[in-house]
Amino acid sequence: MNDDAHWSYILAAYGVTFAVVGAVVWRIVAEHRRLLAELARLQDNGGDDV
Amino acid sequence: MNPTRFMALTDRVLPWLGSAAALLLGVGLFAAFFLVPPDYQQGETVRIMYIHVPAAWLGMFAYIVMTSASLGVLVWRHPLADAAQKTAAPLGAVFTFVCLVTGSLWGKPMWGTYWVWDARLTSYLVLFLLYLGIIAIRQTMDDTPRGARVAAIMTLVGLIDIPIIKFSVDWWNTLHQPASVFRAGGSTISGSMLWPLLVMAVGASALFLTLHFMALRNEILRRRIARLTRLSVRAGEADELEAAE
Repeated sequence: MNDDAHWSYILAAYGVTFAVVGAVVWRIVAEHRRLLAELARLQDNGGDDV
Repeated sequence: MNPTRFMALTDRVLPWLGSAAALLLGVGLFAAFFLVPPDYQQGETVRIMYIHVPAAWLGMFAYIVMTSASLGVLVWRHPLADAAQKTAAPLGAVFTFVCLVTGSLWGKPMWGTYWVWDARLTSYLVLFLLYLGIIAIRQTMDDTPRGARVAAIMTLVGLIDIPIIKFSVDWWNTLHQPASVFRAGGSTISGSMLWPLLVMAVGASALFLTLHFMALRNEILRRRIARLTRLSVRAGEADELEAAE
């Protein structure tokens, strides 16, 4: 098998890794922002009651 | 350590840890693509090693983290241990998945096949299934103490797979190569190929810790929100009762 064929496997392996790890990072950061916003909303609405 | 103190500590630590992970992974990837020579047998394909091997180590490391957290759940019933166990499972599953996929993509040009049912590959697939099982338990049983205990017990039972993965290449005849980094007698990998691998491994470990701390902070926030919502509902019900009287 020549080196060109090898590179397709190398790029596929790195592509999958970056896509999967990138998706995890994006999801955790997005979730953090959503939770912070929800916590702020709860504290604003009912902060005095709770 | 209580959750409030953990949040304060990680507020300070996370920027440094994330930066260290980015720097180490950047240096490791640069070396893997531009400094490491092609292998005399595998050619360029050896470059897959720099993501496959750290992912494999992290897949197992995450399980060790989960095992420690499970002991914290069962023995000390620590609230952070429960959250740590819960948040490590998806990360472990992700790195195990990356290891399996990159291993297949390395196996095809080297072995002529994406998959064989040899002991190392099969035991690693079992690890992935264990992660999926533990995640399923946590999702079906919510955040109940019983759910945490069941997941912790399953984690401890599944720990048997870790030494099987590690020693499978010694105990059975496998297509997968035997240990070549951490072995008696020293590494069999050339120094010019080894140091970028170690840099990538340390960088990937820093990335795992960064993601785990971030996920743990999210879990603490989620529980705070749930508690505040419950208190808010109770306060609303008390107001309604008072108005009715």
